[in-house]
Order: sequence, then C-alpha cells, then structure tokens
Amino acid sequence: MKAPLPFLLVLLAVPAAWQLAIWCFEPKPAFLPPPAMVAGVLWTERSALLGHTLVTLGEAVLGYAIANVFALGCALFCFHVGGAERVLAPWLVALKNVPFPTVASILVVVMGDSLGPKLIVVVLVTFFPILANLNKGLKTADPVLIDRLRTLHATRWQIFRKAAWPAAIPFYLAAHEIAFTGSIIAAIVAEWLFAQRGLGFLIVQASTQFRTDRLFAVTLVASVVAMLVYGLVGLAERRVLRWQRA
Amino acid sequence: MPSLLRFLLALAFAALLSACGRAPPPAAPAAAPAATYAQTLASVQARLPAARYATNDFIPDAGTPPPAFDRRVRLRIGMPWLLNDEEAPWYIAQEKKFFAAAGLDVELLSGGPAHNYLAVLAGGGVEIGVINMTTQVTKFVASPTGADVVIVAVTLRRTPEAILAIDHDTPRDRRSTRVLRAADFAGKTIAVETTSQYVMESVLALNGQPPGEVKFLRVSTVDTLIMRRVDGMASWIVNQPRLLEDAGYLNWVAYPLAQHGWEGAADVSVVRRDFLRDQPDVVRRYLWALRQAVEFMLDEPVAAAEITSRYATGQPLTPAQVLRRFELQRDLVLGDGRAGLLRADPDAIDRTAAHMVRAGVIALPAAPR
Repeated sequence: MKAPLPFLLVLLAVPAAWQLAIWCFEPKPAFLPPPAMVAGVLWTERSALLGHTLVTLGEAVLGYAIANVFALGCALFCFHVGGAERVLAPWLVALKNVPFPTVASILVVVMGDSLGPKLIVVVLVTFFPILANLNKGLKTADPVLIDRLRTLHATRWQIFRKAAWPAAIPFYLAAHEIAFTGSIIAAIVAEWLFAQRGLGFLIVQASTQFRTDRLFAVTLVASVVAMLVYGLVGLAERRVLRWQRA
Repeated sequence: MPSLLRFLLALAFAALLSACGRAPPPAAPAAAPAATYAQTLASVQARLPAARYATNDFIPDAGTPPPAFDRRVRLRIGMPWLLNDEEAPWYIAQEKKFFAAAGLDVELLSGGPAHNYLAVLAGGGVEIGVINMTTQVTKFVASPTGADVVIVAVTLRRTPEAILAIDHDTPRDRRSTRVLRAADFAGKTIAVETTSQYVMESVLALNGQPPGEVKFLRVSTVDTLIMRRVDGMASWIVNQPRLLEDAGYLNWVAYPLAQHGWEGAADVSVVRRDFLRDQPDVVRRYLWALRQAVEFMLDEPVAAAEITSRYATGQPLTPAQVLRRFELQRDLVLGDGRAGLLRADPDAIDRTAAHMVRAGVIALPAAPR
C-alpha cells in the first residue's frame, strides 16, 4: 500500500464511523455533534482556524527546533564525556515530569504573556525523546569501526562523524516521529494554559462557550496538522535513509 | 548527512515562517454587532429570553412545611467546584436532613476544572447541575450544541465577581477604605481567566473606561497580585480576598461588578426541561430542602460553618475561614431581601446576555429559542 493511502483511509473512515455513530446512538450535539455541523464550522471559520493553526505551528516548530539543538548538544556531551549521561539522567527525568499546571503561573509571572512559556512547554515535552533516542543510537556505533578509526589516529570529531552519527541517524529520525508530532500537542497544551491565540486557546474558548462543534473542528485541524507533520518526517526519513533501503 | 542538514534547515525555515505567520487577534466567535445596546437587548428578549430558561415557579415561600411525597427519589447533584465551602447549603441540607425530609436521597458529585455539569446534565449523568454562573447557562442555551435546560434557583443572587487589588498605601495589617473606580485601571494589568476577560472589558466600558487602555494577563493566582506582577485580578469576592487575608494582606480592595452594572447570579441550580416537566414535585422538594439550608446558613452561621468545614473535603477549611466566607457572601445571598431567596431575575439575565452578544461571546439563534 502506498504511503498516503492509509492516511486517506483515516480521512474517509473517521467521518463514516462518526456519522454511523450519530445514526445509531443519536447522541446529543453537546457530546457528539454531527459531522456536517463540524464541517460547517470548518468552512465558515476557516480564516480564523488557519490563523490560529499558524500560531500553534509556529510555536511547535520553533520549540521543536530549540529542543533539537539542546538534545543534540546534550547527546554530544554525553558521547564525549564518560559518565555524563548517568549524572544528567535524573535531572532530565525530573525536569521532564514536572506537571505543567504547577509551573504555569510561575512561568507567566516571570516571562509574562510572551512566547517564552509556550516554547518552554514544547521543549520540555519534545527534548527527552530526542535525547534518549540519540543516546541510544550513538551507542550502537560499530565498536570495531571505532577501534579501527582510533588506530588510524582519527580525532574525536572524526569518530563521531564517520562512525557514531551515521549509526544514530535512524534513531534520531525515529525520535522525530514521536517528538515532532508531540510538539503540536505540546504547543496546544501550552496555549491551553497561557495563550490568547492558537488552537489550544480555541479549545478553551470553545469549551467555555459550550461549542462542541467548534471543539471538534479544532480537534480535526490539530489531527490533520499532526498527520502532515508525521508525513513530513516519513518523507525526510525516506530521503535520508535511502542508502539503507538500497 | 547533507540530506539531514537540508531537513534541519527546512525545519528552521518552517519555524521562522510559521512564527512570522499572521497572528489572529484574540478570538471572538463573531464580530461585535453594530446594533445599539437597546437594539441588542430587544433581540435577546425576542430570540433568547431568559424567561424561557429560568423560572422561580418552583421555589417555596418561607415557612412552607415539608412537602408530602409518596416515594423516595435518588438525586445526583453535580457541584460547581471541588468540595469546598461554596457548596455549604448542600452539605447543610444533607447534615440537617432537609433532603431526607423531602424524600430525597442525594449524592453530591464533586466538580472541578474538568467537570462540565451542563453537558453531563444534558446527557442524563446528573439530575441537577449546580453551575457557577447564570452566564454559563446563557452560553449553553445559546450554543447550537447546547441543550434545553432550565434554571430553577440561584444561591448567590448577585454576582460575586470583582476586580481585586491590593491598596499599597494602606499597611498590610489594616483594612483599606479606598473605593476603586473604573478609571483607576487605566494603564494597569488585570489577571483574568479566559472566561472572565470579556466580563471585565464590558464592565470597564460600561463605567467609562475604554478596555483598550487596560492590559489583561491570563493567570489566576493571588501570588501575582502580591508580587505586583498584576495590578488587579478577576476574582470572586468570597474566595480570593480570603487567600490574601490568609497571606497577611488585610489591605485588599475590590471593585465589585454587581455594583457597577454587571448583573449575574452564581451557584445556579439547573435541570433538564423534560425532568422539570415529568417530575416537578421532585424539583419542588429539592428547592424546599435547599431553601431550608440557605436559611439555616444565614441564621446559624457558626453551626453552618462547623458542618461545612467537615464536609469540605476538596479544600480543607477551618470553621473560621468558612465563617469569613459567609460574612462576605451574605448580601449576595440575600439580594434584595429575604423573601426573594433563591430567586433568579430573568430580566437581569437578559441584560447581561445583551452584553455577551455585543462582546461576541454568544450569537443569538436565528429563530426564537
């Protein structure tokens, strides 16, 4: 089956199952609005939805880029400094598991109504899977190859570039599948906590106005964006790892 | 490697591009109508009149004897928040056996941030939902994905909403005598919840302060006020002032919205219309028990506070803290007098709904609802 087909299947199956549920169970719109009602919101509010989606996407991608820089830096540090991973791990795990609502007020007080708190949430959510996969990937480098490079007086950088990094690439790309799509959710959660714009804010607004149709419309948009991001990662993976398939 | 580099560069470019994306203004579901307030109010009264979804017909008068009943009924009541002293009348009705005397076996279900008892009520998960504010019910009824529900009583007949501030010219250990005006908030920052910003903007505008001159920050802890990160905060006069007092700040000062043209009521008992139609006697029995409890709270505050502090498992409180709440909310419960306990004012709900329409918070249905 070609790559986009399963996604198309989802796009067809979800509305079909949804409509079927409406016909069979006749739920109140407060719980499950009909697909046509949600489609109406998607159409009539398309301009606002697009604007808010761009805001969310901007925060997600920017936060994700920062998370990548930090994770790559940390992974390099752990690779070159023996024992660094053992020392850093508890700190990173503790940091990763801080419940956001507990620090939300502190972040707003310190950083105000700015991009900062949202980026911090995205970085906290996405940093760890990238780092964990990179660490794992770097460790899978062929020790014989590394020994051979050492006997040839290769520098640390050369060992990293020729042996460790190529071994880590598949792991790094696999991390993107989880972390990049997760960055969208992280941005939405951050907006839910802090923002006045973005899909997360729309969710809060729709909830408080009891607009289940708008809530579902935002959910659909978020799902489609996550699928596109996932597709983008798959595309990059196929391009970067084409030597592996060959 | 070059491919990966290209991918990362594309990622960075996409980040830049998206970050530069046209940011929409803080969302409002619909553009504010060009109609005047009077025209908007007329539209509300024609297409979404509160008289359709709020009734006082089932509230018993003072001194009414316990209602007769032929069978006991189990009632699930969704509370407006975590079990704290906001729900005092319902604990009292349990403890003093007012519910039992009315033939009701009541289960009080805790509320909280993720609980939407209007939707649960519509779906049949509870028989009665106690909702924070009448404005929420208006939103629900106006929503195309709402349901047919009816307000049968309000416990706080006037809104407890206020803009809370600290009077830094008064020592912390003294009460402030300052009276806040809307103009005092010009150039200041007010902490708000998403749901309260339009309320603050509407009230300030009503009182001659253009809301554009006020900054709003989405944050909800009194620490921000103490740390002077904000100058005021949207609050309930019965809640946050107590937190400030507990932190040693007696010098708080409030701008109560009820005194500045914003009409709402809080702790609103809501039922489904079909439930009201099919079991009106159960609603009458519930309201009889609730009225006894509210009267007990007003007449015997010390005993009521002791009961409440035992039941408030969601937020441990001392009887003294509960008493302070009773003191702060007494006028809000009484409204215009004891005879009107629990009574909602449909005209006031309409007037507030007109402000909500103008703020773009609700859209009126095309046909009368």
